[in-house]
Amino acid sequence: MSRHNPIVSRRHFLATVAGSGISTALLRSSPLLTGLLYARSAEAQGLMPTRTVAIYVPGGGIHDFWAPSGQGAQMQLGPMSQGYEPVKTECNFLLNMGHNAAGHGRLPLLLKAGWNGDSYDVAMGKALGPDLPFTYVNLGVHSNGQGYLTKVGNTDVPFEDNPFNAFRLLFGNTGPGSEKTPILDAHAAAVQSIRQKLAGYEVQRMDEHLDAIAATQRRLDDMAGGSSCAGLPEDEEFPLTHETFSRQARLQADIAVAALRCNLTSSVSIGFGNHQAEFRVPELSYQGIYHQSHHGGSNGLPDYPYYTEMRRHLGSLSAYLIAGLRDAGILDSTVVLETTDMGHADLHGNSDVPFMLAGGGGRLRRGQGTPANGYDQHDLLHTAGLACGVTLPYGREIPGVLLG
Amino acid sequence: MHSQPIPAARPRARAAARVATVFATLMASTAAQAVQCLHEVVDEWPDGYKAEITIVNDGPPLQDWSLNWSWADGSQFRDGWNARYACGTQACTATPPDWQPTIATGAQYTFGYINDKSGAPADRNVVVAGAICDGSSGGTGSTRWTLDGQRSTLHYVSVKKEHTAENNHFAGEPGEEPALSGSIDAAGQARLALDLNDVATGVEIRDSRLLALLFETEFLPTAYIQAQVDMAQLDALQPGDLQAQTIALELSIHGVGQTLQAPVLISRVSATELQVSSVAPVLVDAKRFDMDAGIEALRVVANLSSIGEAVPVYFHLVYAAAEAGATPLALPPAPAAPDYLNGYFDADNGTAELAWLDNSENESLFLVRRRVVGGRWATTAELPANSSALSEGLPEAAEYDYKVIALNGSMPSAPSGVLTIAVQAGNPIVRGHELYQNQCAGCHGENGEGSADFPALNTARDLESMINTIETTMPRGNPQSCDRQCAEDVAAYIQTLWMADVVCDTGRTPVRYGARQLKLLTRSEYQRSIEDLLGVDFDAASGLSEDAKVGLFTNNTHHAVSPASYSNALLVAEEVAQWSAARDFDPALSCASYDSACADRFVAKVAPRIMRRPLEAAEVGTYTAMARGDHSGGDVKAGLTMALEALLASPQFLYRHELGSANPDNPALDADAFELSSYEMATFLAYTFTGSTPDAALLAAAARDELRDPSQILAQATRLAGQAQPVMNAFVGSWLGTQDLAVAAKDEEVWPGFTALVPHMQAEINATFGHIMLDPAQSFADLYGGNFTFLNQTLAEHYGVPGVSGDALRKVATSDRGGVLVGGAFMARWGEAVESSPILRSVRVRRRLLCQDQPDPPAGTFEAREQKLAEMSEFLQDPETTNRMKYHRLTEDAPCTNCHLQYINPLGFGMEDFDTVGRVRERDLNGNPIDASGELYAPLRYSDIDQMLSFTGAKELGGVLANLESAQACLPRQMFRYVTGVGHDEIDGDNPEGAQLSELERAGYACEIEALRDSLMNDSPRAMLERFALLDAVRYRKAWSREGAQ
Repeated sequence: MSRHNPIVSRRHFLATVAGSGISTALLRSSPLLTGLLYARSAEAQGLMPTRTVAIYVPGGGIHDFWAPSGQGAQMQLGPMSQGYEPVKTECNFLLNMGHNAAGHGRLPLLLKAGWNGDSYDVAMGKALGPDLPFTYVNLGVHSNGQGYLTKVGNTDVPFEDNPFNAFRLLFGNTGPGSEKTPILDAHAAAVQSIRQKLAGYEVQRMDEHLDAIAATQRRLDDMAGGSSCAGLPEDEEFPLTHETFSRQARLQADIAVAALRCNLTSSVSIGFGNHQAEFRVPELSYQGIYHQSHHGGSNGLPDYPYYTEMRRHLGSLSAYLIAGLRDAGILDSTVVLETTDMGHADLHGNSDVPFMLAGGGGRLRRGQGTPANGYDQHDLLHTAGLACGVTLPYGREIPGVLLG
Repeated sequence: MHSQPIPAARPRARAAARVATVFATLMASTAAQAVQCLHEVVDEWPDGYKAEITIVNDGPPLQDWSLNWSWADGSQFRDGWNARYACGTQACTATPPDWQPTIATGAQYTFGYINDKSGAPADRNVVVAGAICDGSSGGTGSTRWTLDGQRSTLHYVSVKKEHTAENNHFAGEPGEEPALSGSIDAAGQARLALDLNDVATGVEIRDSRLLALLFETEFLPTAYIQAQVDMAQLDALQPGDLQAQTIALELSIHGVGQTLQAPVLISRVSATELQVSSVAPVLVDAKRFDMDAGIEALRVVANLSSIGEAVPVYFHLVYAAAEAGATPLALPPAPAAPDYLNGYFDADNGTAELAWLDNSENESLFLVRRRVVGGRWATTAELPANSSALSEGLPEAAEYDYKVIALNGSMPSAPSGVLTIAVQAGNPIVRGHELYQNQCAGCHGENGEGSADFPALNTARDLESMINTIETTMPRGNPQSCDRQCAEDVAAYIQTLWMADVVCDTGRTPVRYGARQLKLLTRSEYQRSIEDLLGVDFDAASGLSEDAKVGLFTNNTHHAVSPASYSNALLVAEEVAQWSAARDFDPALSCASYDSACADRFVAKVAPRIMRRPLEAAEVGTYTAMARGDHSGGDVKAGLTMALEALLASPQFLYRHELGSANPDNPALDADAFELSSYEMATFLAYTFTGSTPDAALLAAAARDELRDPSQILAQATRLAGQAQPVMNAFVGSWLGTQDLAVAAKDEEVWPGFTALVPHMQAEINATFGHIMLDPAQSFADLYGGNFTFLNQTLAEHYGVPGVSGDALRKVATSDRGGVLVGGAFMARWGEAVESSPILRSVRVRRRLLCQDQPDPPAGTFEAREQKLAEMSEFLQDPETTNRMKYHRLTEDAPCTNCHLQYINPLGFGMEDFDTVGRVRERDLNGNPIDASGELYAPLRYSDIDQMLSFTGAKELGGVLANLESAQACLPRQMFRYVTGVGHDEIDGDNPEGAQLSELERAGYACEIEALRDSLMNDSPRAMLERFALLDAVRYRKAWSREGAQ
């Protein structure tokens, strides 16, 4: 089915930007654009990274097929981690780590210490870019409602699985914010009216709705006239079926890179697949769903060939995103973490869990593996936060990772 | 331009949890108070700044706090987090957020805000005020000397295994408060506070054990030392002078105060610095502080031969001359000691019964300590303030001493007198409790709730197999340490943790109240609504943010609007409004010209249909102004477009209101009850049965206020249930997972053409389910045991059913398939790419059709998996190895067997006569004959593993399920959750810390499930569906509390 939106097609959007340009008055008045200039000057001074990306890759990995040997350009990756080859010198493979929530259905415990409260992407967005148009951006690929990574307070935030929606929300030009003001005012008044009839937790929901309206108004005001950012990813539509898993993943990665590069947000989380490992990648030789590649004995073949192929491919998607950040010139100012929900997936293992950090410029040791026995997924978050100068209230610093 | 739709002064509850991104070290405040309130600007940029306020609570737990502050930089409050804010132009008041009502003793709590400013630098001298911050329990007099916590140290030496000595100390985390704080005031009162949480032995696990087992910092976080110093002597010291003294110290630790003698050397380093060091170690004997039991516990848990009970303590304290006005360290005043402790052994209940007199008014807690006469004191209970009695069972028969201590924070009273009680008989549950706490709770949780990697134990299990499992496998790695008696005791205790099923008691819940709810429209509901309202003919709703999913079903009942989802709703509304405007709003509105009459007609006719009720006066005003073009230069068409856009993203449209209002005319209702209005009922009926907005007949009935009358409601339900096929499709697709059949793709080389079959199989199961649910002549038994399905030629050829032609589905009599389980969609959905999957099928049957809680596999429990697979390589590749043999071998080792041997495998193996593309088979792909003999263990309750039903093949299994009470009760439960948005017993089983149903609410739902089940079994599935409309829990609501929803 075709979309009927004459306003937000990409071609129209680009034409608008080209036609209007950005006035100096707008530069002065728009917090978005001034924020953008600040971010750049901070980078120039070589300060702390100002952005972060949390990647979720389900299904862990097998240590012996994952752990790299050697360092830098000479580093040898394992059959499962080979997907990271193009960016391996940007990566720090954390080895021997534990997991205190290994298994399926533990997504809420990957990016935060408890079941409730702000997840890493939200907390970091608030810390690093509270004045950017989007506090956080949360993208998914066939998450299919199978659990949520991102949470604001008590509210789960479903992954945005649809890259075209994400594109439209982030890069679409909806005209001056003031045009929408009467609409937003009417909505706010209606929420207030409902709120007065309520008690308890439903009041909180209404407050969140009011916050959403206020945040939207602010963003529309800030982004009036569009952003100055060129070189956005192609948003040519294609069907979002299981057949296009990898293409969706790459488009979401492109969108993530563009959102960070254009200073629309400082924090992105992105999930490839879902915790039930119920997805498949048709272009691979293994044809089943990811979950089945973990279990079921691999048809008697040794060394988990199906699992290895799937995991290698998922790693290559992660690497694609990291390479995108590098090519955009913002990898050094971005701390990338990759988290997962278990170690060896046939065991639902809670040891030898393959986590990874990447980017971060002078703040991270890269091009190596770092043994981190005794540390877990929350320490990964803490360490990534510290790399950006943010002290998260849970976890510890993993030794041997941070520099400077 | 920056018009704000929200008045700045409204209270805000940002649902933000402990962000506490503490960039800054706290302002080093030398004068410690019970509560400190600190303000700091942590970030500043040209047009704004970010500030954080930290409450440091060293006093009793804080609740209902309120802080206010103002600033003088002309900035404007913009946004805040981690608290509720009420802000004016230059000032804010903050109160606790719903989800963090309490700040515990010893805790810090940080919240913050952002102000927008223009030019002037941020005011960095803001003082936060509030009743809690005034240090009301602070000391008196002025401080002369203040302890430099960073430079002061306290060490002690521990000795383990007879002669391994280790040096330990206390140190605050870098950047946080030091472990030691203290002062010496003008009257010579020296006070020292030691944060025991800062113990640093160099081994993290040891630190945490010390805190939990020895210091009990959960309620005794701080040690206090007090001494009287001769100030005249002190003042007489000149820089460079040294003086040796022996000082009498009053040490309060672990709820016990004792006097110790400390030989010290005082050196006057300079006019502004004083140092006090121990010249000989101060010996602290654990026995005197009731800490010897804790040391014994440490010894046991660390498996050591011994740990010394007396430790030498060394200290070096550095004091700086206090700044003017600094207040001394405040110590909580000791409570008055409880007395008149008396009690007896209650032989009937096997409990010791204690009572005492509460003499104090400032206590935060009572500790009860117990020892076997002559043994070691250990804390047996921590009771809230104002307690004066305790009843407890005891593990073994013996004579026990008791004493009671009142605590104010960490400051103890003197103990009560000691009472001795002779206990004649031990209590297995108490023994089990102790064993459980020591050996099981670490993995399975304090209350059996399970933890990430370990199964929950709080639901009923088969007792005998549980005892056997404990005896033979637990605790992991050391099963011989728990013998039969131990296992029986532990099992006796675990049974007390089982959550009882709430049963229906109509005396208790004469009216069953549902919860007041606001359900966000799902994408599907949004789409169908705009199709019905505006004639939309394209997929607009896919532009909305993803629906929330709870358990199996899409469920927006508790979902909140986020900035992204609201923005997406605006974008979709804009798109649809422009699409409709391009068609002159046909068919919703027909105007000869775009004038104010047209605008008014839109507000009078179209807007109420979108809102599903008449507009209120203020809404008429708002939308009339919009529609008439007041915001679009008088352009009515543009105004109508804006009004339509506004409506389609409005709260009135996006939320399905189920709030109700008081109905004093209905005497059966409680005073705090709400009854759904006729318009709300119309909305409920429409979305429940048709998945769309109310039609004209429903709105007309609502306008006549007929939908409070059961007969009228039933008439509408009967009418609408006939249109419920799409809703039934969505239900069954989620319930059995068949809407995602495409994800279970098959290997094209083995099963070519499967992808093309997917929509046909989905249509088949939808038609079959819809037929059974909606045709009043059908029965529940048909669902699993029916001898018919719906086929077209494509499916019939695939299944090998003769005599069906054409594309249209039609009902076909069958003998080897039928119903929703025994058919292509279910069997293919839960199959692998080449072979079937007995595991996936079995677990789905148990969880989804029987509503039994089959636990997930525990993490990391398999050992030597690669080796096992390598050993089996030949076997797995042998063409004579069947799927059944393969899965048996893959799961044949402990602990897999716990679930696979009985619960999972035999049930799944019995469905092996269906291949992975949903066809009946007698041989597998290698030509081996299929063995489809199966067993359904624990058919009624998961704990009743000693029950078992045998069957052969999926069709026989269907026949078994058709007659099972557990299956009959399960469908109403699943549909209850789907329709109401809450489960009958829980809101979201996947979130152990999420909102919970009230107990009375659950009791009412238990009755509703029974009512639905009666309709299902005594009448028909169709009758059950219609019955939803008449449920009390639908028509009558309460604002139930939501425990955990903070």
